[in-house]
Amino acid sequence: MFSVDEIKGVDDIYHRPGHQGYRPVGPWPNTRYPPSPQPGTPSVPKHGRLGKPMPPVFGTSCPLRGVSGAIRKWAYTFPDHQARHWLLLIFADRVEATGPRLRRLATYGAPLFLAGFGALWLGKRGAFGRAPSAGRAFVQRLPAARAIG
Amino acid sequence: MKAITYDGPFHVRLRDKPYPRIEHPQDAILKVTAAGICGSDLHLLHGLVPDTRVGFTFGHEMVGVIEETGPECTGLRKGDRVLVPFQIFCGGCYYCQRGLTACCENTNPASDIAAGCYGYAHITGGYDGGQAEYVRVPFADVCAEEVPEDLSDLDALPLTDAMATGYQAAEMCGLRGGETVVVFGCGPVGLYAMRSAWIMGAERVIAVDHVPYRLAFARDWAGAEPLNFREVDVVATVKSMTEDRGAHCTIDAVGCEAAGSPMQRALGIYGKLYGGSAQALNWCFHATRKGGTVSVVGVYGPPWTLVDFGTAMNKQLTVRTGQVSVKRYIPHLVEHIRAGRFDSDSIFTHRLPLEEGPKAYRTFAQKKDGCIKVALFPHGTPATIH
Repeated sequence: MFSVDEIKGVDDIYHRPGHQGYRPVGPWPNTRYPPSPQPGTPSVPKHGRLGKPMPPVFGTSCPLRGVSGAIRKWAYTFPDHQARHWLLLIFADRVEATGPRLRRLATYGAPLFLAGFGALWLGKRGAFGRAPSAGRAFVQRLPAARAIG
Repeated sequence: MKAITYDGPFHVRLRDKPYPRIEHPQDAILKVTAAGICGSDLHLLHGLVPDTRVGFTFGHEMVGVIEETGPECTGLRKGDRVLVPFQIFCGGCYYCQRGLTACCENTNPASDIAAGCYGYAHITGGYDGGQAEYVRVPFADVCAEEVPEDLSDLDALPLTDAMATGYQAAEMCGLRGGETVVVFGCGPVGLYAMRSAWIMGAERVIAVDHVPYRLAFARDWAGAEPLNFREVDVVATVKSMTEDRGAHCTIDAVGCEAAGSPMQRALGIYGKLYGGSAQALNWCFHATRKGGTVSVVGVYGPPWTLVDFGTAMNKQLTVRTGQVSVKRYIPHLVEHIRAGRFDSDSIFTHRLPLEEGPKAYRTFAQKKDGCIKVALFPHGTPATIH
């Protein structure tokens, strides 16, 4: 069972990693600086701040493609301190998400729709044991209504 | 190879992706043996982080074995067992030299607001994440840290993000002993923040959430006093518990998907008119005493949120924020783990093969089945986990 008393106050404020004196300023072990530039094409364009250099290392997952890619490419022409940069990226996300939505609809929604439509069609033709014509025949067997008065 | 990928808002999918390549001479390829699902992955899942692309691999908490190294990655060898901090950093730029590896300026073309991160949308550089069988690790011999032999994968996995973030959250409160700390959010980061607050000498730790099993876990695992904001007015209750002043420090370990305000959720989360709900942060401002400190580690993606900043200004609050520069914290936290001060074994309530990732996301997101944290094992669940 956990006991607060066993751990309370173990770390004093001057010996925590965030304290400015915890680690001297300097490169980390194994650092090669400046890093050599990565060949290839980044999947993210550099955002449009004037004078921003392209960093030497970048990700390559999911390159820009299609309509959403075009919107994203446009969004990255604006710097990240401008609202339109983010709003365009959010809009592109919504556009791209329509693809999986339609696919899921095709996977689950379309068969359900077809099954429902088929059931309705079969029902109208009496496939479930109650032909609509039987109802009309029953009505026809009733005595004709007499005029009153 | 198999990977858990984004498939539009509220959906992830297991799909086959190409084996990652060495793209840069300092890269390595990591064979992932354990990957965590983080609360901040849910912000991606719910479509709240811009430029999250369909097909993108999630996951920024990972432990594994080096499979392949680039020609300039000389500090690691095939077979080394390493943990990988969630940020990607060069180790030599202005910020890295000052220990702020989370602010590295050499790994993210997309934005100036953050360094490159694994599996966290394309606004952090477009690097595939670790919820996969293999992942590319840039600057591998700078970023990755060898896992000590006496630590299991599940001991090491929270070091890559949740534990370090929780520790930094408490550290940013500047605790000297005797303070009351309120932690909003009883997810893994909040839980680690509670234990860290005790380690730094807090006198009282109060946990706020609305999920009963999580509040019970915070009480039992972290010794916190639970407050359910569905049952009480959380700000008034905190003030009544602290001589009508409020807590010395509050920690926002929730971020942009906070419950508690129908308006914030309707406009920010469901309507996506802005960057999620800032309700937890607003409660922090109100529940902190004047002159106190608010520590924010909950994730708020761009573009903006409805933050009650006037209250923070008028109450003379100190607001401290930031992604944790994980590398700086690892040696210190390893000592705490060895001393048994962070019992991660019970945090991982769900341990599943990678194939069950989509189901795990649903369980975690819907807070079902007593789920606190999920570990995925891309190469099979270990027979024994100690």
